Amino acid sequence: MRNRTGQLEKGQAIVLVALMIVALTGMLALSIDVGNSYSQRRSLQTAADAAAMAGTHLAMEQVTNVGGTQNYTAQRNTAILFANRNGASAPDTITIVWVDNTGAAFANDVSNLPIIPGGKVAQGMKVTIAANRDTFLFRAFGILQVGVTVSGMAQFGTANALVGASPLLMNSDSGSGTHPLYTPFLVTTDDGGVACCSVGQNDSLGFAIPAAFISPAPGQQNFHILNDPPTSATPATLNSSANGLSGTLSIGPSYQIDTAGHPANDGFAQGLNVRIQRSNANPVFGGDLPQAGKFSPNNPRVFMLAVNNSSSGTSPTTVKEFLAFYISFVVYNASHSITIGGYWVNSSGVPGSGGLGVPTNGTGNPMVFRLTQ
Amino acid sequence: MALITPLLVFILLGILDLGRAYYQYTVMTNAVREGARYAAVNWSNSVGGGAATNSNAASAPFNTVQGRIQYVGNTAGMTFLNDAAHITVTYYDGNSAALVQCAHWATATNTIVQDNSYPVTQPRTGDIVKVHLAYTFTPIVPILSQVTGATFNLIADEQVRIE
Repeated sequence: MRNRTGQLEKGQAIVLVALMIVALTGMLALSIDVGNSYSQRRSLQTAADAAAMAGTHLAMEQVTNVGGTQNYTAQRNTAILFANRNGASAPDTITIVWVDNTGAAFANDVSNLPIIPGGKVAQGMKVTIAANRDTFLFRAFGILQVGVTVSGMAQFGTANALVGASPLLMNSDSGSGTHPLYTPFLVTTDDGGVACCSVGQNDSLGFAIPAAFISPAPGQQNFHILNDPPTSATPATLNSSANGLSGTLSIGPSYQIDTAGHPANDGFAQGLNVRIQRSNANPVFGGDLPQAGKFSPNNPRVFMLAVNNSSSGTSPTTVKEFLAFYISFVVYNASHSITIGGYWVNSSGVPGSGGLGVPTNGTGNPMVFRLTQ
Repeated sequence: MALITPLLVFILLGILDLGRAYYQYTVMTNAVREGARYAAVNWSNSVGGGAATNSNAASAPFNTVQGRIQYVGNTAGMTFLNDAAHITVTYYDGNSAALVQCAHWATATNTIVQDNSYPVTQPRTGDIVKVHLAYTFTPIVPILSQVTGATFNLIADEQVRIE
């Protein structure tokens, strides 16, 4: 064929076809290999999610069942196992970091285990998988592999509470305003184990338990056990001074402790554990003695600690807020009990301050419920 | 142009088929994740606890592994067949080093069958459940269908920890 100027155009179609085939091959390669990379990404995402879920759930089981002790090595191994079984294995790179309740990651040490600062707790993990996957048609263009990186994260718990079995609802009651219910963590402590509270003992978040809770305590007489346990086999009665209460105990804005002549040990001189033990060994009312081989009929005993208005505490007055809350179950006798509980502190770890136990007290300083264990 | 047009159409249809296959695979992975999740959190450690979470009905109840898989498929316009060739549920001992298969769901009898002499108390928390889903993908490219036997099998698996 000739054009208007008489020049031959024969053979031009071949060039066009060749160019088009190259272009089409490129498009085909693009669709196949990009599609494949997305497919690989999808598979790896499954692996990352399954790994994060498995490791995090194991963490939750450990916290719930073993009294809060997390085995990070076991969690990591479990996560890697499930990543492997869902298609991510060497030479793929599996990176695991632990996260707190906000999703912020903790740094890992040289053993790839988390470094948990005081006041923090691991509440989940993030699994990142980086892998290279072979290409199909991209190989013709010199691209042998494509890199795929995915992440999966799982958490347990909520912002201000470590949630495990969480059978208790803590009423953050206050004299003013309404405060939300808090769900504290559950810890069981048989007194065959470590009793609360002694010097050097840490709470569930890794803080040293405040001195006010340790026997013998410094002169912080403004801390009081509301329902001071009986001191002898003589049954106490409701509202009696022996019971440490004056006035009706109910959920309300304020409570009264014994107003005068309270026992000399009404502070924390004996420590909380001594008081709980003493209570478990003595009846609250007639016929309430622990019985061998049976659950004690006085189960459970509830201990509430509070702070009052007086800084000296020598003349206890109106109790402002709950400071701590314990439930003690006597399983067999006074030597076998299970105590569940903890105490409120502000974000600086000061019990009863920053609002006397109110979770925020309008100051934006959140109170947390720590566990003694 | 007459030469290149069929090739162009073939490639375009091929790309379309690839997109369809990827879409269906994505739905499958979603479905199998839903099924595996259901299997992981609804396992009962009581004897035969796993049977209640499975069904061999052609249209499985929603509160079963198979029902969850089919539900996700239905919402995406796909029908997942509930038979031994398309949906399987297998359990592994998560505490053994070799991760030995300890049980599987038998489609024909709709029961959990113990494997490798494992007691009926397994699987249990910490063990592994594997959910497998297969789906027949039919391309719309005529020549491709004729050359390859008309269908492809898409497969999606997920293995999760029993909680």
